[in-house]
Amino acid sequence: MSQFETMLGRMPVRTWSRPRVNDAGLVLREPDDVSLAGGADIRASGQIIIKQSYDRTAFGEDLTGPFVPEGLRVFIEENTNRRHLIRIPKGYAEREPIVLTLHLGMESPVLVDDVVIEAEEDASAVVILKYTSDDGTRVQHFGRTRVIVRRNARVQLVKLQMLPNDAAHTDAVGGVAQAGARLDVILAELGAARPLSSCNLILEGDGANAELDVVYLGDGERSLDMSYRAEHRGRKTVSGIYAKGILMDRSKKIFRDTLDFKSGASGSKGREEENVLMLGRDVRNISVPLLLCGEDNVEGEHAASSGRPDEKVLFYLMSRGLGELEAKKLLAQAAVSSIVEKIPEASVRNEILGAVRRSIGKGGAKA
Amino acid sequence: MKNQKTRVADIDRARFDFRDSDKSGYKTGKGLTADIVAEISAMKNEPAWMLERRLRSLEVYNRTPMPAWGPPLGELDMDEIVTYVRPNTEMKSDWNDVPGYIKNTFERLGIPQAERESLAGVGAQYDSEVVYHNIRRELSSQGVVYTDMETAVREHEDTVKELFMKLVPPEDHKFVALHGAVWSGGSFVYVPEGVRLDIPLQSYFRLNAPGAGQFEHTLIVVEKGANVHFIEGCSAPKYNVLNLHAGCVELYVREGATLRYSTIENWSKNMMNLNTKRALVEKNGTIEWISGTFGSHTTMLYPSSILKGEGARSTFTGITFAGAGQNLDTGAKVVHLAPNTSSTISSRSISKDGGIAVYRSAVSILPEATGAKSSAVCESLMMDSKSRSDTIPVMDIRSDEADIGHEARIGRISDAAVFYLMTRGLSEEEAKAMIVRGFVEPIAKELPLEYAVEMNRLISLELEGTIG
Repeated sequence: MSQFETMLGRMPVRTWSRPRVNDAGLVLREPDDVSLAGGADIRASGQIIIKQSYDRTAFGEDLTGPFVPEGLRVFIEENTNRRHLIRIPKGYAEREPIVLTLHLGMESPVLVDDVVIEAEEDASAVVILKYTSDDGTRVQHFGRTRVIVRRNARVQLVKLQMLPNDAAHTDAVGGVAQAGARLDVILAELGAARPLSSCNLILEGDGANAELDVVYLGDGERSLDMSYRAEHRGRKTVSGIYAKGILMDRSKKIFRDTLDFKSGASGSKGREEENVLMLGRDVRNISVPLLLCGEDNVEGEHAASSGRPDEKVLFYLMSRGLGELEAKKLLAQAAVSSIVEKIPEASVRNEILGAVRRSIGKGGAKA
Repeated sequence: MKNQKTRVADIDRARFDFRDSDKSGYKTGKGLTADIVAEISAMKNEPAWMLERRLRSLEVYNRTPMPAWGPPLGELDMDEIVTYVRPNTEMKSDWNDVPGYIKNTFERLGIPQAERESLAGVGAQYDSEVVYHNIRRELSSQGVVYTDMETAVREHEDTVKELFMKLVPPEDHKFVALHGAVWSGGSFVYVPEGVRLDIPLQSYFRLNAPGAGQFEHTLIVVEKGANVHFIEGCSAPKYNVLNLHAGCVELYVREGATLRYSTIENWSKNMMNLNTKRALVEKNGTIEWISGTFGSHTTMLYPSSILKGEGARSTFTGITFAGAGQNLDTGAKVVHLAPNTSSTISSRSISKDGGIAVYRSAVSILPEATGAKSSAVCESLMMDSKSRSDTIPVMDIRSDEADIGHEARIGRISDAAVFYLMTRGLSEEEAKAMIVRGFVEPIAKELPLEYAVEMNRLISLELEGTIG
């Protein structure tokens, strides 16, 4: 097993060096065995095409955009030990979510996964990817997920990361929505020591829609590094990047979100919004919301806010009989609920809310 | 119906673009060497400590890389820049003693008239040296000092030695290191405790020589409870060679004091404007930045406020107008170091005809800044799809007891707003004119009257039909 260090550019456009938001260091560790490790746990109907090769898929470009430099791309392609193609056939609507669970443990502590989801014209599906692990195994995950949503198709991708606090986690999502298509991505970054998460959504066709919702949880010493971008190319495209975060203990996060309107994206609209609930005096909360605009006929908006729980609300809840800890758990759940409710799978919703409650129980009570 | 775009006229630069023939009394050779730095220092009869600081700055400059962010600076070749151009005169305190061609320049810019009508003091710099400085006698008698930096180095040496380039050290970035090596001219202002100036002081910087740099240094100390408004104006004629402006402004706002620092920058489009401004604000002090960026080929300018004392406050109000060939990268920085400090940033930009307007900001709330409040609003108006408008803010919050908000909007003139105004009886042209004027109004109202009038003239509207 060998490992090496590299630097990742995390900003579509660089800014001052001093805030240290332009780059992030990354240690890449090659897995011992790059052969396909075991059978993946995939829940899907028989209509869905599932392969461990995607040689015939035409990507056209690297969908992960500026967040996966050449070195990381080569690393993933040379070291992938889980490769999945999930194809939803033309005109087919999968009723139940397709669930792919990737579990890391003692026998496979390094996971390098490369997943491709392709929804053919007029198809629709919900795909859930879950990353889990046994505690105490110091697992490492490097992953890439690419989503191609063809004309008038719809895909909702939910990625749930609940790795242990000592895990390494680097994840890149890239998606493209063709004309009339809709791509919704929900990312729940709830575990790992230093999650490096990115998502690049390309609204390629006229009338395409894309929305990214992010729930993140900073507790203990966790340091989250997130870079997200929506690129408008087609006319009358609509995007949204929404984030709900909770920070406590000595956690730190950098959240970069970018709306990039390219020339020609006439009539397009985008909005980015981040709300952070701060539950600790020692947290560090860095936000970098970018609006890049090369087209006049667009509307781009950004809003960010952060702060402690509203004392009046806390007081009200406690006056109704809740203890302080329970009141804070309730407020933290409420802070992320608007995103969690968009997930159709009840078990995933409960896992996220459960993780939030457990974290408050451990550290948030001191806030 | 023919679909025509709304035209926002270019800024009329005729008033600024006239030029004098080069009648400089002395100029250094092109480029930047230790010999040239020593030559500038010797010309000014500076004390040894200042030469030491210059040479240290040069060392820092030589080892500091070019910025890896921001607008492209590749066409800047320091070997082609003349860093010191002394006009053919000493500093005067009577306009009648200033050489005719220089006096004429400032007459055309309206400076002597403004001094007579609405200013408490005026400084005028022509190329590398201040040629005129005057302050009303009643202010001098209250202990107010307003003079050029060279005089301040001689007559207020202890204060200058203590404060000069301490707030903005040469290590800050490459171009402030350059400034530290070759600075010349600029203003020194000292307002004693409790003194309140009802009318502003103004310094005007004019760069006439082609291929030259201007590196003026402004140092202002506003003592406890004092109040002053300082206005800075800049312009230059257009040449075919690159000119460079790398000034530095250091502002010390003591307890309970207020300083309003207004800048209207209208450099010509061959100017690279790489300027640095910073204020240190103590307990209950206030810094108010008013910043209008209209000229230059490339600008990098981000006035910064360090809110050091409890209750210190900063406001930044800025407008940027980027036309053809301009890449204007502007914004603000604020560091909250103490409890109950507050800051607001209000920035607006218009880009047209391929111009690039970038808003860049950094707001930091340190753990000690409990109860800090910061609010930023940034709005950008795009007039066509050849132009660019980017917004690049960073917020670094290390206190959970801080109230932080940030909003940004990019877009063109709203069709719905035009439609609404038309239903109220306005023509389409009137409606659009009203919207654009309304867009810049929050900035215009903060400017001194004569500058507000000037800005309205600069941003004149020529409406021909619908936007599309």
